[in-house]
Amino acid sequence: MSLLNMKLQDLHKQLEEQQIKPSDLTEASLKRVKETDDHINAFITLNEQAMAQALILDEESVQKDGRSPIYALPVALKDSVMTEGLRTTGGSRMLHDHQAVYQATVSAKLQAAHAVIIGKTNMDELGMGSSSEYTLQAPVRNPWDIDHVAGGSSGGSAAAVAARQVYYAIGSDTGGGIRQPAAYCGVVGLKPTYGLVSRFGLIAAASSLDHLGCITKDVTDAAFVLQEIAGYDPLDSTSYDGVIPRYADELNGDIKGLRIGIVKQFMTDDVDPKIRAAITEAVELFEQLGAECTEVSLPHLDYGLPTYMTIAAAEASSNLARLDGVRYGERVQASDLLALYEQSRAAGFNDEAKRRMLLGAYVLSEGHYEDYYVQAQKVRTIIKQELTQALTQYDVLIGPTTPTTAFKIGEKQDDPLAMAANDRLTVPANLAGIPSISVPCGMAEGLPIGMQIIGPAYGEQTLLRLAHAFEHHTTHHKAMPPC
Amino acid sequence: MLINEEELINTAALVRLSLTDEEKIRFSKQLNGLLHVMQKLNDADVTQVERTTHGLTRRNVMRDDEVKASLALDKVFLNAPEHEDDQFKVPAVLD
Repeated sequence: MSLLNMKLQDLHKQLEEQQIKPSDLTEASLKRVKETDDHINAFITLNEQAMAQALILDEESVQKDGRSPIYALPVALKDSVMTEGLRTTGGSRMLHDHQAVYQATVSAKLQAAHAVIIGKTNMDELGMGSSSEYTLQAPVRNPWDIDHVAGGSSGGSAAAVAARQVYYAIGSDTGGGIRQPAAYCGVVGLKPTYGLVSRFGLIAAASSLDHLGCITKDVTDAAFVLQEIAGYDPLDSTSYDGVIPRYADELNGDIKGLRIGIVKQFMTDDVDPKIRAAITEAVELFEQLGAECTEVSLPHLDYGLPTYMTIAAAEASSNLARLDGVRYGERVQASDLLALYEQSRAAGFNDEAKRRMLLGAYVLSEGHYEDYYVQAQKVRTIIKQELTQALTQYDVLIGPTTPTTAFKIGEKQDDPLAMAANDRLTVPANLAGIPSISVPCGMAEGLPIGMQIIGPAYGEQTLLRLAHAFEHHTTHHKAMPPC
Repeated sequence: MLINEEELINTAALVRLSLTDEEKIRFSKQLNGLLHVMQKLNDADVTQVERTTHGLTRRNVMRDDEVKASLALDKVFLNAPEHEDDQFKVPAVLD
């Protein structure tokens, strides 16, 4: 447990100085998973080779200078990220025994850095959901209170980090899938700029909105992990081909003169007053540290949710077409091909995936295409312009990550609208493709609160610098769940 | 009703999904609720506004047309529900 509480850079230092061995780290992680995962359900699959891989690293003499900061550190990956040789289900019955036959770029990068993959984390089916309840197994439970959800869709990754089962985790964020569970579980969730991390090998939910990122215990860890997973990938034409800065070097605590916009539309009455109070308290701290904080009104953010719902559903209906029981996935035998498709898909998908493919096909169909899909794409342009414009006047925008703390398991499972409304504050950054981070900023009734910091495209350094300064002057990130 | 049962059935056919009678009733109600919220988009003035298809604008990316090895056949068929003679097997399409 004590190892699992340590910062990545301290673990790295201890490994360099041979105070600990790679297998000590993996052993601690596997032990903790064994102790806690019966009630957290963070994992779908454990990597049975993890210990053997760590023992090989014990023997290996990798050049110390060339070691990555994540060398030998155990990590968990969301189960929508392809890991060759390891089962990759995407949280779907459709893919319940799917063996990945190639490596996602992010998995390959972790492998090249000699990270040890502990396992694949539980999630909403194919990234569709906000509670990690729409999965092929029992829902992920929030380590702070197991009657509550961990959020989603990367709920398993956030819960695994919060419960100190692993040292950090990889997640994906289409409308809040990293930040919302991070907020609910009291950990740090970073969704970088669109394309900064290659999407190759991530099972696509909505391609123009999907982002890969990391979930960590603190901001410094996030800076180190981002450094390792970011960068151009010839296998993803949308990946960023610029220079990746050394993110951790910028964490100097200096936010003097930083222009912070507090988004008015994120602080409305429907946001839990305790959450608003936590943000106001953070603003006071930023002002004490010399930042200039001003309220900013971005009225079109009110259209964020319907815009997201339309585009995400349309793209999902297209992406889900490949899962038809022919080349891979669960097949229901039928006498003709059409029945095989229809019955395999009916048996393989959960309600949320079915709703999204229906909704998506509807908004793309003749007679509805202009009114819904094209309209949403145009409103997306306005939202993007509004955010881009605001981020020329302000260095960052802030607000809560979620309108409430983690809700109860089962509470919203049959109410897709209430479930979607949960993502209201996180979807704008996906629509605009700009980076956003959620950091712990308080507690309400025993459950964590997250603060969201949004910046301009490729402005991760500024987000991380502000988040780090906040963390440096507060203790929220040190709070530990009771499990 | 923004989507009626007939439209729901037609849409389900488009996405190759069979629905039970219970699902038809439940999804119809839920989809109407979602579409009702999505309709609010029409309140926004989008005159002269271009569509956004991606979060960030990217130029077209070209690469040389090189012959490269593709996925090995044993991997291609590893997860196939049924295959025969290096082909995916499905029920007869032609009589």
